[in-house]
Amino acid sequence: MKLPATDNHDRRELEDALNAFTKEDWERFRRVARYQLYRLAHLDPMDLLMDTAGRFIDGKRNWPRGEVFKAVFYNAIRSVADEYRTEDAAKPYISMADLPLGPNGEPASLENFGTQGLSPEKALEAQQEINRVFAEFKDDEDVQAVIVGRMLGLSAEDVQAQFAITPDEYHAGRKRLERWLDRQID
Amino acid sequence: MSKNQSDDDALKSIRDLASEEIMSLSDSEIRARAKEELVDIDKNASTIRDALKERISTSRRSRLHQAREHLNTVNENLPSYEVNASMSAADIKARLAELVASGLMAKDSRLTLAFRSGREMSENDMRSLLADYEELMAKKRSEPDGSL
Repeated sequence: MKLPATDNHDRRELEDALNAFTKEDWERFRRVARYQLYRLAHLDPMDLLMDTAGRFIDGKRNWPRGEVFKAVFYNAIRSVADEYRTEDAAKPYISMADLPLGPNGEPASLENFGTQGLSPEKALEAQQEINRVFAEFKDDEDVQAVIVGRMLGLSAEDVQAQFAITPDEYHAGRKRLERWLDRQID
Repeated sequence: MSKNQSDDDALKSIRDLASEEIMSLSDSEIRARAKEELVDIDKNASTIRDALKERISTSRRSRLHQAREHLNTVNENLPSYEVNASMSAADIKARLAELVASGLMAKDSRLTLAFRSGREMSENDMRSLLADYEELMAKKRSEPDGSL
């Protein structure tokens, strides 16, 4: 009996690829992890990086042949952070004191409450960040175009075409947004 | 789409744009940013590499442990020398003949050669050989490529 062949790199190749990341690569990924942990400010970007790398090492995530490992790892960081947010949102956000008593007067249980989605606090947090971004860049149409274009699902080229901005203006706008966000998170 | 969902998508777009900007930075640019913000990238990289090394080592130990457990399970489910001790000499001879006929063993194996030469084997030799080959086949089945 032979194991079925897969189109994924094997574990040794994965380990080699992880070990080949330079310190500059890790610093880029650490910053990406920091940005991806939105609404999860209590978590450490280094832990997200280690968890993501660990999932590749343990075979829970694959590296398809023909794909650049850095791009695969980048997307994995985003995906794992999304997973954290989903888990976080599934936690009840109401306190025991807020719960009504059961029909027979017994104390209610948090387990009786299902997924709540975004808690009011988290929803407010998200809304405040959006408001801050648009307030900060209210006079910067390039940054607004970059953000709105992404929200509409447009590619960089489409944003440039639709909002009549050059590639340089697009990238400069994205850079201003990133530098501002960097200062906000600190 | 609810307002909350819309805000969440907007937040994701902004964070993705910032992430893409970071990934577009050159090595010298990322070093300059780290220096500017007093981030020790040597220390961070070293922490990550040490943790990775440990994780890789733990993962390998875990896989080895699982493989051993699997091997033990396979061995427990196969006839051993003790089991074939209860078989008659004729049964053992028949089982050995099956093994030779199956083509699973190398053509120059001790058993194959013995059968081909027509040499008589003692009952003890046959029992011992059968136990050895059953064990060998169990080990082969538990190998990563699982080939026999």
